[in-house]
Amino acid sequence: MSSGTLTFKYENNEAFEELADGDSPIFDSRVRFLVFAASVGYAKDRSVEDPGEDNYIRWNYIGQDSQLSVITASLAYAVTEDPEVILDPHDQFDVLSRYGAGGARLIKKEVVDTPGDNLDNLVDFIQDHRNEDEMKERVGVLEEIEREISSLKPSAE
Amino acid sequence: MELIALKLKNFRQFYGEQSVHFSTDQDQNVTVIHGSNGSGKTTLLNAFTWLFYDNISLPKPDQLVSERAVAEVNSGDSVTVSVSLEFEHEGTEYEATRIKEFAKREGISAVEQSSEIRLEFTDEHGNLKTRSNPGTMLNQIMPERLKEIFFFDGETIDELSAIDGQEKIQEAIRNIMGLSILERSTRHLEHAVGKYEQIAQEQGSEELSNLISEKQDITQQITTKEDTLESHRQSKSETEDEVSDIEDRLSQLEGSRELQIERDNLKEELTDVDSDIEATNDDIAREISERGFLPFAMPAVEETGKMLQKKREKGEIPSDIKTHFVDDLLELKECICGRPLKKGTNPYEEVKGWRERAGSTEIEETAMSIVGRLSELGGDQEKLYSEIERHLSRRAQKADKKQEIQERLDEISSQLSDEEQESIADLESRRRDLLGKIGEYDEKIRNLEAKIEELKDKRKALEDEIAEAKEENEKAQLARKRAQTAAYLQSQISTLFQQYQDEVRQNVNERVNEIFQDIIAKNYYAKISDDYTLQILKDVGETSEIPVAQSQGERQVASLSFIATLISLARERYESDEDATYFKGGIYPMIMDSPFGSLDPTYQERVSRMLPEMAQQVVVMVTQSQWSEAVANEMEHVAGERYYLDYHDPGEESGTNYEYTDLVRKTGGDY
Repeated sequence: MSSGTLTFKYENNEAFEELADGDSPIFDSRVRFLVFAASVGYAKDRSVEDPGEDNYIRWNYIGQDSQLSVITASLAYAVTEDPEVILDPHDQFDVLSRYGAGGARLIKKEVVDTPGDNLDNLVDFIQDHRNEDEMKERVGVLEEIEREISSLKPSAE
Repeated sequence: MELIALKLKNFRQFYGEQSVHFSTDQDQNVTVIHGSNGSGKTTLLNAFTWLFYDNISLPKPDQLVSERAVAEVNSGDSVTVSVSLEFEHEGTEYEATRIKEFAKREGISAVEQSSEIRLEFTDEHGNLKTRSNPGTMLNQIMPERLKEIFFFDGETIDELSAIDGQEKIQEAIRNIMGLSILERSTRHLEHAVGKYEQIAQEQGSEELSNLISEKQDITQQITTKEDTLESHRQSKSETEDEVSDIEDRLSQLEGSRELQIERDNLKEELTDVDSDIEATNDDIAREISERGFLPFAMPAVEETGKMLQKKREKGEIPSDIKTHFVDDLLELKECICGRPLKKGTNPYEEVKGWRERAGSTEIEETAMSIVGRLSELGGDQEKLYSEIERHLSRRAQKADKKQEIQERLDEISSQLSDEEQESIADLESRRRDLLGKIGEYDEKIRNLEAKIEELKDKRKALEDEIAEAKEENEKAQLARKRAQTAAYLQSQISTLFQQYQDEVRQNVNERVNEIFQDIIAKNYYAKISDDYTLQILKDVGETSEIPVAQSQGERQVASLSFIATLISLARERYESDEDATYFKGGIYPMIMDSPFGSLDPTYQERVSRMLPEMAQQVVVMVTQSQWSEAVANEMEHVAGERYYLDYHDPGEESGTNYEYTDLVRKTGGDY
């Protein structure tokens, strides 16, 4: 079975319906929200050991989007510390579903269940996580890594 | 007709016998009856309509008999209610009396036992005689259809100048001037034509029968089209009236136009601002959807980047040799240098050792794909925040603008009164729609008129053919001839009727305007239009005129002018020596309840000055407030008789349990 036809189950949550469904959702798709929720779960260390399996998605929704696939692979590596994980959709999705469930539960509490407009609450939630210095430092590091590796020259022994 | 005396017996609140003697003095031709509200002025006016037409326009019309009179008799006893009027008409003195007998039941209830109307007169020899057809005779003297003209209530008289007043005006002109006779004649002749044509059709040849049938068919078409035409004209007229009302409203709203325009513009602006805010929210949402995960995921990306960096440092990526290449050499058992690679040999182990240092193609591709996006992701994270900030700032500006607009709208709303809130734009739009409809009616009317003309030409041609068709049957010939004669007469009388009607309307028009302008000081004039609408107009430019927004007082004056006109023209005609075959006129009194009802003091004074001249005999019923100093100054010296209604209120007077009113003749001083 090619990775494009793989499907995975994930835990549904009211936050999906509020933020990724309906007439004017904030997120373009449930996949994007799941990746967002998993990123939040990772950053806030919220993982669910045995997440629900209410819904499913096809892997190719992630695999065909270069940005989502980088994030998913990175989250998986950061959690497992196994370099091989970046090649394995199953392992990546395992991380995605556990941290996605944890993140979505937190988002429901902090965004959906908080009084006020969902969009404004979500903006506040994202802005609360902002760290300008860390961000600038990280950009420098990432640029350096990209420059180094992309040079395509074999490393000096 | 000249009123002499009105006698009431137990009629409503007029307990016992009461009477009014009307002034017959030509120099003091006004009879004034004073009465406060509720004292019985309108009841007195209704005494006339009850006598003449057995009709009462009062609450509880069945309660004719005085409560006090009923209370004073024993159960089963009878109580008489009557109204009689002594008057002179065309040289003969009459006394008309309507009597009803009631039997007392329980309490103050009474049941009618008998009813009678009598009309007695004194003949030229002085003998008292009775008319055998009193109801018909009284209706001829004072036609019931015109009761609102003869006995009018000042508070509702302005209805004559309303839209639905047209029919009353037309009816009044035709009746009081005697033109109804001509109108009835044309109807009778039309019926006669139909009757003779039917005989000719039944008795005559097939050709004649077919021609008559075709003519009748065309006549039917003409009638249908004329009905439709009339309906369109009526609709057009009503639409024009609505346009006129809208224009009045627009004119009244003119002062608030600028504020309304500003309000409408602000409302549009508010809609735009709301759309902008919505679009900005969409932009923020798009930003979050596309990049929102980055701040949370970037540490993981950084770790992955570092992991790949280490791999690169180890030479695993990009590696100078690939595991796949080493595996191929080992499988082929030959090195690139040609040396055989046999398991367990040194060359084999050496080449196998390369494999440990080689990187996989898959991991390298994935790694390169991740690495290729690292700096972009870093930039995107920064962009996420800067874009959200930019959108939030824009949204805040729009929210401030929205707040500003809403505050201004509240301010405008408080400046505009409730009436002025009505939208000028909506009214103008409605006016445009209605003008469009009027245009459509005009076109339909033109088309119908042309079609009717065409049908009439066809009918004329058929009539000629009918006249010339060979006919052997004598009965059919005779019927054809009679139908032709009746049709000719109908046409002549119809033309005559139209001429008289136009002539009378023209005369009425001139007189109405004279009286109206004498009372109204403004540059307005009253006119009865072709469709018999009583209008108040003013000139605009040299050739055009427009209806003006009328106050109730102005409408009242216009209606009063119309009534006075009819009465004075009828009187002139009656007294003239001209041939009076169709229009002999007559002398009528004016009997008015509250004629100054809605008039301001200036008009009150002018109306009261002119009232004595409006008719040979004038009866007015007024309250104390209507009998202002201005009115009193004008009328006291022409008031030949004055009465007041002495109302007894059981709530305020001891010794009486039932209300009643006495008619008391005033002999001097204030009542």
